[in-house]
Amino acid sequence: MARSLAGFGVVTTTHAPYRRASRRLVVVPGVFVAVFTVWPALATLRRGFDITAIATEGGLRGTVWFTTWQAVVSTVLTLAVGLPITWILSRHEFIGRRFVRALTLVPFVLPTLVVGLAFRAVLPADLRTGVIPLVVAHVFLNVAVVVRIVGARWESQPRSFDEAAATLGAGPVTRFRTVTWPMLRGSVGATAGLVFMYCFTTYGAARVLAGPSRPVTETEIYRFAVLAGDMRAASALAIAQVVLVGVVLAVTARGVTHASVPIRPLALRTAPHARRFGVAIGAVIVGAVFVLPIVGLVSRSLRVGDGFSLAAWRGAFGGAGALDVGPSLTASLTTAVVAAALSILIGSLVAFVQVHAASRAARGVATACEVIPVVVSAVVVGLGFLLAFRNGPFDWRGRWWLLPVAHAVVALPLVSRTMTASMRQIPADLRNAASTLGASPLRVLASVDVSLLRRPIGAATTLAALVSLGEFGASSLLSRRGNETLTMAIGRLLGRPGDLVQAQAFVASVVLAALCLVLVTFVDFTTAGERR
Amino acid sequence: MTTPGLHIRNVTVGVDGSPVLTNVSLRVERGEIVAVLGPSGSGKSTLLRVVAGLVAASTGSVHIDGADISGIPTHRRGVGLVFQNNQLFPHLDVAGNVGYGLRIARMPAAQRRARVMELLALVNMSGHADRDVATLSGGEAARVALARSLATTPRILLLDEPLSGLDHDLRYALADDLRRVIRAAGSTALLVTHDPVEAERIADRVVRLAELSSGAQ
Repeated sequence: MARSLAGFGVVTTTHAPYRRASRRLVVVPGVFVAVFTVWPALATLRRGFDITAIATEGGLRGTVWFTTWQAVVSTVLTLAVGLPITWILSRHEFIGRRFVRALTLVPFVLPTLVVGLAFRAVLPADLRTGVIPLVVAHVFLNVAVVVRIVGARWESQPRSFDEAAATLGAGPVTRFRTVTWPMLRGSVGATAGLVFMYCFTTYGAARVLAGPSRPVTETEIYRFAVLAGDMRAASALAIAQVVLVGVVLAVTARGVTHASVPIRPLALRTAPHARRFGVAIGAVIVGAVFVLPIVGLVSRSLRVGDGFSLAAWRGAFGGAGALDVGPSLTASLTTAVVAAALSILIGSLVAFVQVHAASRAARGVATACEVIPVVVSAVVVGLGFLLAFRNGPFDWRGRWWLLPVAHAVVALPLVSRTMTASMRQIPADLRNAASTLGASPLRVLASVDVSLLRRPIGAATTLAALVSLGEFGASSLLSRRGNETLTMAIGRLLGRPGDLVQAQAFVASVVLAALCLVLVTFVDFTTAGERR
Repeated sequence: MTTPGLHIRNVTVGVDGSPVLTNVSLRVERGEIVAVLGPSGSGKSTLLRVVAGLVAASTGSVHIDGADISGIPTHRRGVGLVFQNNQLFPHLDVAGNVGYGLRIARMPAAQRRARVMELLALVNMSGHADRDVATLSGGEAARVALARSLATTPRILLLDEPLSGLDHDLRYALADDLRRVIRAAGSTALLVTHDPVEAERIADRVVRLAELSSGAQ
């Protein structure tokens, strides 16, 4: 169906020198993804070939079943909570709207591990682990996805369609059903698919909240691979996971393309008097709910035993107790910088080829470089690295760069999608104009593309750094003594008893959260994220 | 005592403290086509939006066939509005757009289909029922938008710069068409435009927006 919103033209991107270059450039991301994603995946496949283990061993089957249904419940509830919030935020203007909107995006920016801990800090003792806190945390984490994707579509939906329907006799409910919903449907479907995938591959939050009696596939892969040393079971679960995620993505792919139609926001309208009160209350509640866990995180780090104490903080910065923040911070930042540099390099090449290549094959390779890492979750990347890089010339165990490379793989789809969307918006004739004025192909690249893409490049790089900082899945499989990042430190502290140790896990979380929040202020979200 | 047609009485609209319309009054007799002329930004569209109930007047009232409709929500007013740029629903095809209001009025499918065909014939768009609205030319989209508004036989038909965005030749050919179609439908119509030629060709009577404000000293 070639039904599109009228008025959005397709920008042509033909520029001959780029077309020719992309044939050769595609080799770089192709080799990177082949070595660091496809090969590890094959190594996993070889080990876990006996996928029947899942069907026969009740425990594994139960894990996959639980993971699936909690993801379905989480997705449904996320939409139920997220759509009214999106309606408030994208259809009404009120004082503090931008601030509340920014708040709803906070959990999505924070590492899932940190959000899990935040919930552990604020929930009553008997609700700290199990299905309920896990599902609640998923809703909290993913409302941002709804606000961003559905919100962008809703904001850009001209009010006049609604008005046209009203003049034709449609009441508010009918208008929603016959005008608003059909236009939102694609983006809601895409969002549901994405949220399901996030919840299905949940790891950080599940490690903290699911509890030992309710393991999900990702935590089980970790348990089998690291704690039990059963690579066969870990691999079988990993394969089941990849297959299920692939199916979900394939089913929702149509909606995703639908949702990625260029979008321009329109001016909002102040709520009519009758509605204003309700909108205000809603906005206040939303604001409060999204601040609460952050407050809980900080206050929990200031409590050792029964009373208020700075001991955990003092110890963390002075080398007392189980945590030394300094080296962990350095390790996290180094890893993030290397991972971000790698993923912007590879991601830009993927985007470049997708936008400019004429040959189907080159574009196919580039698309595969973007899609394969989406299907392979972070924990599975970690497992694949463990299995692939352990012997012969590829014995890279313990190499410092293995972790940033794994993070780059995890961040790659986000980066390349951001870059592709931005690159597509540059009209080819700008480059052609530069050529006719005497610019060489490299000069065109520098003076047209790079200067126009400066902001998206900055945004994508920062996003990759954010992903790396909060990355826990691959990290916890590749972690070893020395060079311990903040998320690894949190993971280690969680497993140990003692009030001070527990408080220090929260100290590390606060430091990590603060780092992420500072970084995110550098991201220009008007160019990034919008078209995820 | 009832006066048939549309009666706008002393309508004032202010947005953020500055008046867009001041004390505007206008009477349109039943079956009459009136054009209101004014430069862009003069509040012409706002006037139509007040009649349609999309914008609330600060003071004044709107009457149709003698009854004050100021408090009635848009969807119960029985007022049709042809929007600037048409605003055809992109997710519905041509027939879906024209039949939208009929569907809401719960007209049975067979009858609806017939009515849609009748209207498409009226606007010279027979045979285009199944087209995607994104593929329509400017003139075709304008015709479909007109058909959509006429389908529910509104008591008053409002037209907001219906021919803007069309090129010159097409514009005046379509203006004559528009007049013919509105006449054939027997509608009472209020049209706003900035183009005097267009106004003359479509309307029975042309007034300037500036002349409608009384006591606006």
